Amino acid sequence: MTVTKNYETVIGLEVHVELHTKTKIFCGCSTSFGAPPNTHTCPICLGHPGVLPVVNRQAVEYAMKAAMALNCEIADVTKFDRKNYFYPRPAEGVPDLAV
Amino acid sequence: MSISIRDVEHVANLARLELTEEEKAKYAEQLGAILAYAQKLNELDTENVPPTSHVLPVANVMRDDEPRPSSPIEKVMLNAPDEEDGQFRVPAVLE
Amino acid sequence: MSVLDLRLRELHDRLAGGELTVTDLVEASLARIRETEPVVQAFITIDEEGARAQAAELDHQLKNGGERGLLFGLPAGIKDNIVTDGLLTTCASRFLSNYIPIYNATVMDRLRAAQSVTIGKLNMDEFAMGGSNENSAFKATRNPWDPERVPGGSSGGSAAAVASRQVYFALGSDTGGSIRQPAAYCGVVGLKPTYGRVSRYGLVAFASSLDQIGPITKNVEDAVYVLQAIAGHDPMDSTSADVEVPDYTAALTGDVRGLKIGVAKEYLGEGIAPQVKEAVLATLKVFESLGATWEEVSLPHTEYAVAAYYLLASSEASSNLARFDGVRYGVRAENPANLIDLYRKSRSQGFGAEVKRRIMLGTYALSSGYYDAYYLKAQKVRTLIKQDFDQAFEKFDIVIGPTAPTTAFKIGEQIDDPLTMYLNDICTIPVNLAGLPAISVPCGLADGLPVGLQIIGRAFDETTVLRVAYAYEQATEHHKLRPAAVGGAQS
Repeated sequence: MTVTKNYETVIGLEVHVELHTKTKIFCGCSTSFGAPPNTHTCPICLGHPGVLPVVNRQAVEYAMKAAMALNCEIADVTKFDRKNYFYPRPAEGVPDLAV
Repeated sequence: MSISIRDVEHVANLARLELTEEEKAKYAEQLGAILAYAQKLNELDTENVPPTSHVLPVANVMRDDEPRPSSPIEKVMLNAPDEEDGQFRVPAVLE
Repeated sequence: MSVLDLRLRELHDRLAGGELTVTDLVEASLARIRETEPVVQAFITIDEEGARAQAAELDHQLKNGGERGLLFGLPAGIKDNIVTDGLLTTCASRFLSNYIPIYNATVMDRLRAAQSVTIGKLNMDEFAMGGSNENSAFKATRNPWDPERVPGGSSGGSAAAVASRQVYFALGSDTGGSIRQPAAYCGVVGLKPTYGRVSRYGLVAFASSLDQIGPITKNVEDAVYVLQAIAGHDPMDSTSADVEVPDYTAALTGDVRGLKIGVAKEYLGEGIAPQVKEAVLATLKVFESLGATWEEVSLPHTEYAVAAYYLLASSEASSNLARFDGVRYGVRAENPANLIDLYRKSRSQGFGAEVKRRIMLGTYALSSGYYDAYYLKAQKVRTLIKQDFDQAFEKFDIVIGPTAPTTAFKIGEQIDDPLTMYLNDICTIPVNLAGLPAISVPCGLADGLPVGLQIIGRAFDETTVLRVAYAYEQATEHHKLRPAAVGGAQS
């Protein structure tokens, strides 16, 4: 068929993996499952006025390890860009970590 | 540099702001004037100038993966506009 | 002399010597507030009960001897965008008119360790956006020197409270001049530290790469002590500098011999009121008599600073204010049709016009198609502005100029003209873009209204900035003037 002759299939996979850290990415709240709702929260992950995120070193290390294990290229410089949209999710504008 | 009412509506929507017709017209004019003034920056050749997002040369500031106490539920809920069972109530997200 | 006019050091000694109690200081402050608030309107929240309780506790400690903190017993006013655990914090916004914080800002923890007393929260322009304090959702603070004029902004309440001696010192915040300009308009001292010198954890963010908390005081020596108490690295703020905090009292020498001063040419051009220019140039004679030398210096990209600033600050603000959606705290709109409507209505009802204007400006500058032309371009111009200062500091120890182009303007005069309002910050904005420390000190009166001299230093060189400010102050009488408009304490 002409379709397969003229077009090349390219498939991209966006994979989200939850890293097995003890605490959240930007605050020291526990990531353990099973507690009642909103009991592993703090002003930072609740996005209260005036709070600031500090990134979890272990998350960065795990992400790099995973990337290296999958034979990926690790960027020399990584920076945060803040996302600006309103979805039903934490509204501080601090995005997922991208390595 | 004029801004159309359509532009104002688009931006207001992105920022989740609701404006009256009168406000839209007023902001269109004011934002237009400010952006016109901002055109001034084009007088400068910044082709080879690196951008500064941060004046302080800090890098790799990170935190150990050690748990810290979370807030007690009473505090978490203290300012909740509408709560039930220790959760924030909002209009349904999914149909 | 009224106890309200005493230097912090003097008060410290009198407390230690048993001549005064903390309760005396708090009651004097509260009485003064009762007397002057009908005109000044500096406070959003006055915590009489909390202040008296703190005073009682500290007086108890005073009796039993022992270590005393650096600011022991001194009543302070706190700008209402600094989060105070358990005490209403509104940022002068309807949106947060019911917000009771569940944590303390780091600077508040430091004041607590220094043992000062919090009298209350001070009025400001909403979310720190403004230069006149007219953008508060609740009230317009008045300039104690002339109640028909603005106190400046956005730390207008802080400056007015110190000028009218309602509090012994105040904390303000500065993003584009919001400590220095109101300090100049109200005839008091205002210091913006180097970016990163003081923790921003607990400062409700306006523009994250520009904001800093700093002291507003009635003299330079008091500013030294407050800075000493609040400066330093904070692990909760990853933008706070891991730079040692020196002993700032080393700045209190009065010695500026051999100091090389750069007089910023572009800050004394067109657009600066003649009397302001005159007052600033007159300071050069004082510096010469103290053994300093000066020369004109050019900061060629000054004229682009306001444009770059408003694009950058508004962009950062649009992101920082995205958290205000009415879900977890704040004033939520009633009967929303759906979740998006909840966001829209809560925000639209909660924010004032200036805040909406800046959010939209920032959203526009960051939006697809415009990011490169506006936001990125402004970041590049920021580099050029910083380079101007780097070059100036190769030759000079400090750079001086007026803090503001004019003295305090009349209430209502500029509120309908945002662009004119923005241009009031022409002398202060470049300093925030470059992240440098700067102080405003009174340098005279023009038609009975205070003029501020701005002294700018190298990054983390607050000691030199304070030393120069102190030397100038002690060689002149301006710091002894106080506004008669509020039936002020006599000198």
